[in-house]
Amino acid sequence: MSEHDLNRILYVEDEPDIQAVAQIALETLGGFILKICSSGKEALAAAESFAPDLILTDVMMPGMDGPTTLAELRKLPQLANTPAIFMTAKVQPQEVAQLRSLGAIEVIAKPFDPMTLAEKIKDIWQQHRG
Amino acid sequence: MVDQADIQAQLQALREGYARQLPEKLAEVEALWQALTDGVWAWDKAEGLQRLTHTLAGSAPTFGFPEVGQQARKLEQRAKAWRADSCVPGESERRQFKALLDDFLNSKPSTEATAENISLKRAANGDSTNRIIYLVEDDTDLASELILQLGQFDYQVRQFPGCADLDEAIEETIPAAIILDTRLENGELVGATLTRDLKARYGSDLPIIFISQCGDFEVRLQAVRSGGDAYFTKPVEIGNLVDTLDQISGNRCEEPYRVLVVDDDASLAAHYALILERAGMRVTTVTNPEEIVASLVEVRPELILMDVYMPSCSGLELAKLIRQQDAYLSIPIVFLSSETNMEKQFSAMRMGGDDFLTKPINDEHLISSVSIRAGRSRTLNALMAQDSLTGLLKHTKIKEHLTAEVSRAQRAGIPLSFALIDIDHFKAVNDNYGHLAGDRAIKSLARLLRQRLRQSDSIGRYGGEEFAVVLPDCGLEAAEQVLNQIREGFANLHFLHEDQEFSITLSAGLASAEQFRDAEGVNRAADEALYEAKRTGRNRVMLCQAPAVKFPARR
Repeated sequence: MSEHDLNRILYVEDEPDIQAVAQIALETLGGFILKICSSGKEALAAAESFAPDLILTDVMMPGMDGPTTLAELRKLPQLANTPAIFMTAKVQPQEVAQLRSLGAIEVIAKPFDPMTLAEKIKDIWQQHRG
Repeated sequence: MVDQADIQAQLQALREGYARQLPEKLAEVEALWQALTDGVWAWDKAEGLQRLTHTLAGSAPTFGFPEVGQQARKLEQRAKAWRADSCVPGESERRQFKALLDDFLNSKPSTEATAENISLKRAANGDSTNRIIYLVEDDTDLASELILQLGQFDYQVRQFPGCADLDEAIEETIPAAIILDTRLENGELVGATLTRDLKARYGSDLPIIFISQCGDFEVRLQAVRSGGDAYFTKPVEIGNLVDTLDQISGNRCEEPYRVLVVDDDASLAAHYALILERAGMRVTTVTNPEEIVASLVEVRPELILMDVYMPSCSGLELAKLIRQQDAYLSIPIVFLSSETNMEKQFSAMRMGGDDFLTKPINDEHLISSVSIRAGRSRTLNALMAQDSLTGLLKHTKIKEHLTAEVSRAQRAGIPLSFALIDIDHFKAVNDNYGHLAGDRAIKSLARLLRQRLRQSDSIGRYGGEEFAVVLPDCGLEAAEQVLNQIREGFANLHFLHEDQEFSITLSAGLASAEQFRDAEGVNRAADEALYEAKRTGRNRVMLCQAPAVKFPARR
């Protein structure tokens, strides 16, 4: 699977409040390099030059939703195999299964705990590699 | 290295910012619904409504507003269903939605945490105490047992098989305490050098607790000499260990003093209130002396600051009136007046005043006079109000709290839950393991309740093995969740009796203030629910049966 460590995360989330919490959780606490995009469109424009190790995206967003964003990102050769994690407030098992089937390695439930989010993502990353 | 306090401050700032914006967001949802129902149904607006509620459902709980989130989720699901079926909601669906919307708008942001986000709040709050423990233990069985047991009391334990990696870990995060399993090896106490070294560097900031198979004087002495803070012989009685950890690691933050200011001049009252509030006290002002009786019940002030000259009745008369009620004999009353005549001041004291402050008074002087007296009053009251075995409130006190909190909750339109908890088969515990074991079980439950509940909750020992808990600003659902956590936590505790291990369960009955007219109704309903929990098999939390009529919040 992935050959290297997790450093760069492309994060797609339309809600500024959640962006701010995630930024503290992932940049300050987690030590990741984070690129925050407020829409799928923005993510598509930024993805190639940012070259993320991981895509972290909200599911429900205005305009392009999370699954569509991921599908579009996958069309970029550079991101064809980049692992992705969805974040969503929906946690029904069948919905989680469906999101996984779209090519996500994991689904993280909202609300997340800012103090443990980075750890959780690291765990998922480790498992995915292992 | 990441500065924890700084992160907490940043998160707190975000949370406050979110709280400020929240009313606007609620209004936005309402406006959208209004626009949808006023004119022709417009699907783009319906989509907007779904999106807004979805966003709130996801974000509100993160910022400490789980109820707003829950209500938003309900709205979202409805809106989603309309869109999925492309079906414009009919009259009855609209009525249902409106009812949900009203609930949503009333799920007003409160500053108190409810069950779902207590752990988040604990993590995100600057005042959260450090609950990380480093355990140096080579016996894996004992280690996992301690990790499990201390985990029940919310301590996060990290195990080290030896002293090797400890230094590095401490550099990274200083734990609340270190527990070190020790023994004598060649006349030397294992870990003594490390302890001396750590004590030299961190002093009392890093408490070190020894546990050992051996209780010999020599070993204990060496432990003391190396700077150890406590010493336990195995098998470790977990209750005592937790007591010690609580003592050395957590300066439980004190609740602010409750002060009642009585002055007919509203601006003066507000002025004093502001000074005292800045000093961290919780102040209620009364400008009409007639309201004082109600305030006494509700505020349960620890000190009354009162003007002497008021038009309708004098402060002296008021003091006498207060003192004529036994329950308020011990509240300090401090008079504030421009009266400088000593004789008159003494006569005020005879009427039941405790102190006389002369106006104008400087802020510092006012703050110290009030806080010293309030502090002493709190200490004395605690001694009178507390159950001696558990340190929890006595029966009459917890009932007083329930009455006060129910009326406060109903007036403010906020939820309140009340639980009665009873240890299952307690008589059998006493019979099989002795009364000391029974007492230990009671103390453990008391400790567990104190640790799992919020500072703003009241906890009382209702009778022998029965406990009562008042949870202000906490809905039934959240309360049920918390109590179930406590129930599971208690069932997971292991008690020791002559090397014999046993565990105990509890049952609880829950009622909410929204469903009943007064504290008595709430109490009775919780009692019935508890009975039901016992009847249907114990080790469970039961909610009360809702009465046919729901009592709306008094406005």
